[in-house]
Amino acid sequence: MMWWRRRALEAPTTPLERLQERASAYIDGELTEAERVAFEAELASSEVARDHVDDLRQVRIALAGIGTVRAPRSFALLAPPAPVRVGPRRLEWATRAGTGVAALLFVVALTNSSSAGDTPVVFATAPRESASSAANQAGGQAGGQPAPKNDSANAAPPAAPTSTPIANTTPRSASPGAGAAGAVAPGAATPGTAPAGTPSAAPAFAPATAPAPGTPASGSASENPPPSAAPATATATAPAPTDPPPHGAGPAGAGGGMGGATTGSGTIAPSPFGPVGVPTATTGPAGAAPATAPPASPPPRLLGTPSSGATPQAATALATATATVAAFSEAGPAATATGADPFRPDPRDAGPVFARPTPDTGTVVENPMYVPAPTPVAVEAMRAPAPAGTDAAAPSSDWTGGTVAALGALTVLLGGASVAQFAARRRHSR
Amino acid sequence: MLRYQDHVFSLVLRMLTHREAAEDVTQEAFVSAWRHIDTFRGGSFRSWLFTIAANRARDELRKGVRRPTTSLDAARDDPDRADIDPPEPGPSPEGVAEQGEVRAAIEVALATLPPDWREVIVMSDIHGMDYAEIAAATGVALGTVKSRLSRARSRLREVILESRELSEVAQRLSDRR
Repeated sequence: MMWWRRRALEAPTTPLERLQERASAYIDGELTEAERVAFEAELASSEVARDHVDDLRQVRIALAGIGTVRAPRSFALLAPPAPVRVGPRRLEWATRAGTGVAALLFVVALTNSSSAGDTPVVFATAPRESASSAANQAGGQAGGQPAPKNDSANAAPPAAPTSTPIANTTPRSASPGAGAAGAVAPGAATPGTAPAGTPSAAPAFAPATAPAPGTPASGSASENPPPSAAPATATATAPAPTDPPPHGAGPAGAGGGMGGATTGSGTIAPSPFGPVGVPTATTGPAGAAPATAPPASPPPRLLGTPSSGATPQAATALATATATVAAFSEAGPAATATGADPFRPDPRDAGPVFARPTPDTGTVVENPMYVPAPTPVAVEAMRAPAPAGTDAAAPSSDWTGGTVAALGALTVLLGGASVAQFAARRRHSR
Repeated sequence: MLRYQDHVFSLVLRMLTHREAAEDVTQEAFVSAWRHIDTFRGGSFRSWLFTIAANRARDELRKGVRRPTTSLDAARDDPDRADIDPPEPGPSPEGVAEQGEVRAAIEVALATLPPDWREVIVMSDIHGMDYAEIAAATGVALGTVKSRLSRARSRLREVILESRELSEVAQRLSDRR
């Protein structure tokens, strides 16, 4: 209650209350001389006033009679109390200012984040194809028939041996390398030398099987789906051919990132997403004479992929796969455009380089096996993620959930420290 | 501090009407007085000490529900009542019993007063502080002290008059003085 209101309520309002107050002050000797003279005159003329004074005196005497209460113990301090250490005021103000700034940033981040429809962080937008369709499109089947472009999923083995989810945080910039998930055998003559080509975040390789020799070479390779897509499978069945491969020196393409199915006739059904991954010789259109992969053995190194880390399955598949990569019938314009020699020496390992990502899109255009994706896949750094398979809800904000959470935690931390400092100083001031 | 500890404890106990809480608050008041002894500007040390104790007691009252506040209701049958000092040494056994009853009745009547009124009347009529000291200790204006004291006395007067026995005892006490 405010003091003026309390004072108004406590002020005497009736003549009796005013008399009581004067009588109380009179017996305490708290009236001024003029007030005392006036009140004594009133006492002389008013019996009620006299009775009231007598009653108040009785009360006063009765109260004085109850006396003080003896303390149950000694409250003497045997030692000086421990000093209370309170931090400097400058620290208090710094903490308060920090709390305010953090709270402000938190609100801004929260507003920005919520307006942008934030989702977990990813570094790039994803193609619009759904994961399943991407996987389906990536599938291919051998068997003497060239897998139809972008529609080889039906030919993929229905029961894929393995399925490894793809990390949502796979940077899109790694797509070319990731697309090279398929292991690469530089040549049929070098079994067991599975080259590099499996980024750690790349989709899993499906185990490749190599049936007994004598069966026609058949290879089915499912394309690894694009990053951030659903788990996909990549299988490579490369039975040892009875007949020598048409192109004995050609590299194997089992599980190739190109996703093309290596057929018995040496054709590859290109995947719409397949960036790079199959070390390939210069190839021509379907039916064309396959180019010869460099026979010399340092395993080719793919740009954008680590130089080691191929899975055992892929290595086995590649080691045992003797299928020949022949002409790539629908390898796309890039394959036909670079007819002569798409490789160029890698200064680090002297191995051939199959592709070179363009600086702006991250896609590979110089690989003869490159097949452009149906939609442009552009790297947008620092973008928030989109749901798998779509960029429809990709936020346009750089405020991520982690940032908002960190700012919130900072606000709470500094606010708690500020309150604790305030409480400590208040205790100390008492 | 030993000189004032009974007064401080008595004031706090009557403000809080709870013995354990009064002990804690009294101890805190003495510790606080020790720590802030450099802020004592002279004058009445008792008033300064009472100011600290009353502030602590008011803080405790604001906490309110932490402790039960009606222990004085059981004061009549409480053997600790012997701790209450007799107002006059050497009374007869009947007088002791009588004074004990009156004292308990007045304690109960005091407990029925609002805390603001109770604080003022205890300081004035039990501890003999004048209005200026009470105003300084409670942090209210002199007129407010006067008004609260008048109302508290009037309320107690009504309580005493309602109890015939108590009224007679109070009258005898008044006549004896």
